[in-house]
Amino acid sequence: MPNPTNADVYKQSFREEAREILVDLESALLELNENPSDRELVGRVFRALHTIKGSGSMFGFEDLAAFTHNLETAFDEVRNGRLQINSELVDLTLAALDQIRAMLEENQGRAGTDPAACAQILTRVRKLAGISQGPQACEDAPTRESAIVVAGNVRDWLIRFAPGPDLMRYGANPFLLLTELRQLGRLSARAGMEAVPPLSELDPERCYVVWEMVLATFADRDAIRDVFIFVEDSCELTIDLVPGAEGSLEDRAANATALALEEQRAQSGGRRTYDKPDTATSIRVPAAKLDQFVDLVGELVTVQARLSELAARHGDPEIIEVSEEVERLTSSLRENSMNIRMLPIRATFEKFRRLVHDLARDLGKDVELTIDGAETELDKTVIDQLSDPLMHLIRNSMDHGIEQHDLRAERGKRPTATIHLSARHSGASVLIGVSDDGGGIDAEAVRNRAVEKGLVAADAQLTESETYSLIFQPGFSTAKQVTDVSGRGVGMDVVRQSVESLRGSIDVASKAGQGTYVTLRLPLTLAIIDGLLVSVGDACFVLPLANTLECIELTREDIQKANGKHVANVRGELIPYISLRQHFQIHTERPEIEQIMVVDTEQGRFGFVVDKVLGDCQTVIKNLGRFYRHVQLVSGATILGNGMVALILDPERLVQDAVRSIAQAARGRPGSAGMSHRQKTDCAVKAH
Amino acid sequence: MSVSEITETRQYLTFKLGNEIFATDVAKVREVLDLTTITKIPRTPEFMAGVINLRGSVVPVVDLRLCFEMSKTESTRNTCIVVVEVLLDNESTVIGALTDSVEEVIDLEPDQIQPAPKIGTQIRTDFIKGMGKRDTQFIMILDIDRVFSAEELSVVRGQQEAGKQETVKQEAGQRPAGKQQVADQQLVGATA
Repeated sequence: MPNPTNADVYKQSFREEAREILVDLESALLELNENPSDRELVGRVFRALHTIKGSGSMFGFEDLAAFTHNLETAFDEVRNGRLQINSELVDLTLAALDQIRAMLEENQGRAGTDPAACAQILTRVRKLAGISQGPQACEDAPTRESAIVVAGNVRDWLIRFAPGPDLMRYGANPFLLLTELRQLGRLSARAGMEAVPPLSELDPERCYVVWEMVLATFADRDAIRDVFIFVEDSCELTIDLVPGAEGSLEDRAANATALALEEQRAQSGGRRTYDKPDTATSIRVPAAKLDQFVDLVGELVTVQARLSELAARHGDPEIIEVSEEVERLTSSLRENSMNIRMLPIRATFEKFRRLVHDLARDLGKDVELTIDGAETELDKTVIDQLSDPLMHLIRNSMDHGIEQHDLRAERGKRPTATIHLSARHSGASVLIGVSDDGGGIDAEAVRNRAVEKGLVAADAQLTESETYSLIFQPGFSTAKQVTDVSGRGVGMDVVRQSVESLRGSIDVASKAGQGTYVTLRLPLTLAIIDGLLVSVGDACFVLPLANTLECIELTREDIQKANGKHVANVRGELIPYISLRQHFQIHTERPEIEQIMVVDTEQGRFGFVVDKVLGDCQTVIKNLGRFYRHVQLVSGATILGNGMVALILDPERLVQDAVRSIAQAARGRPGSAGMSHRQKTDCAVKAH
Repeated sequence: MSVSEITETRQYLTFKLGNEIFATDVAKVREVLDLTTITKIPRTPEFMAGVINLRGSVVPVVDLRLCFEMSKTESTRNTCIVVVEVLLDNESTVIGALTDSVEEVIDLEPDQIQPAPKIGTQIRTDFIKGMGKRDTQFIMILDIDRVFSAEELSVVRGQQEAGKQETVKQEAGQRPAGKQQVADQQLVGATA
């Protein structure tokens, strides 16, 4: 048997797997709520429950397995057409899923759950499913089983089970399998020990035994096969009807057999779509290993850049050839390693079906969630951090945005409101949209509240988007009363912070009476960027390529023409610029001709003046670490081919910083007077 | 303060800043590097010398002399970067410290270490764990975690927001950078 640490590892992997299954289960259930007659969905729910039950009992989550078993029973009834799906059953099952989740998080599936709630759910499920048994029967699996499985007649099955040698190494326990079989009916088993080697050659973790069993049961072939579902791939399994037994029962069993066959078809078809791709073509890898891999590839890229530089310097064609080969390989390796981290956003989106369903019920509103672009791929880190802001946005939409039934009717809208989640790529960014068809944001109310809170001056002129951006201020809420769902003014602040920490931005649009559209613009990945390498004096900087528009020359003459103002004329458009040399206080000689990098920012177009543009580069972002965590103008660092460190600039922050210092200077605050002079000469950017 | 914590023989790495000998627990030291190119991060206080490339990872470097109110470190043949692993906000972080020269690793018995004098050193006494004595030389044993502690480094924030690079530059020689920053922050806080 596996040693304790191994067992823990298996338990952990079961937990992870179960969590994923639960998510899938949840979305299947919610879909089922909409299409109660979809047999495919019923099958999906049933299989998911069965998987949780089966692997749960295998890995020692006995309570969880027993609990899930009851749900499975109910859905078996549905599957057999004896029970109709209704919203009560769906809600019950959803509540049960929460309990299962709680059991999972606890070590042994014991504490942490609410036994009373469990019992209540069980009682109601049993009532619905028409199973007449008390809650205590929970532990009494065999009787319960035989009471439920009435699909066919008692038949004798001959089962030959030859586990693969590694069965126990994978954490499976043949004893549990046999116990589970015994629950299906009367079982007589014989263990074949022929293959067991002499003690000297015996590997204690290997399984040498072969079992031959005769099982008399109501259950059909599939039900038996299901017992072995987790070991099926690594064992030889044959299940046959005992000859003779079949013949005598043929007539009476005809119905049941037809049903079983149909089931088999549905199941094998279903498995092809749902299970196969997961088990056959993907492996589960801890995220930390992946990070390490990506880090190593990053270092390889750095070394490769040095090799290229060396090769170019020596000019030996043979070395150049090798170096080019290495370059090609490294770049595809890097692309691949980045791709590994990319995941479709589907799971995150699907998770919200449940939230919308529950909230709609609590708020007494009728809301459906539509999803678009769920296959859009994003870096895992981004996806992980996206969950919270999306949740807050949806809660906000549900509570504040979407109107009550009567108001919707009054406004002539569809009674069922819609929340729409969308994702799509746009250059190096991903746009995540959360929109609703509710009442929209009351700009006037937002403004009044902001004035009341002293966030803006009473006479301030605000554009529409500036007004909407006020809702992201901490503690800001126009709600007159705090409800369970929202109103404390915390949620939107969380959204802003998470999006900022992902180096993204938020855009809010709203039409009174028609709805609100929130768009989050996020970088595809946090680990790598396309950049332009520029130099000022001896220092090298990387500007993200994504928002760099063009590059123009700046001569001394140009500066004189502009009367010392830091504004450049680009084809008739006046673009303010910031001299990095002055802003960063780099005390080196200014070259005759400088370069202005024109960058698109939220505040409009700005130029950054640098000495030279050295070329484009794909750079692996290195975090500056805790020590420099308050540094804002620089979003990270990267290591160049020659081993030097180049800083990656954050254009948005740079511009904000410059604009803010000018604004402070303009207001003539005494606190900022000390630097206002320098800043004023530093850059003549007009504050918006 | 913390001499009582030193109860067993320990090894210390000694290094020089100017003419003074300092020491740090050898367990904190990851490695000692020759001076390499340090990339300065714009608009950070002067004691934060910048970052270096340490075999592919980016490691911040601090000018210890400036932390201790001495003049800026001049680059010489003996200048070294002592890479230490310290706790910042309970998180282990690798930081390089610029020193004028690295001397040796020595053993010090607990009875060779005395509490730090309250006055008479140039350095804030809470940075010093104790004074070791060897021959006629005094060795200041640094509490390296405390030197780089979050409290001291949080000044970076004030620095960024106030943008008062100039003032610090002018006064860095005479006044402790930390105190200057705090004063700045208060000033800005009062007026903002």
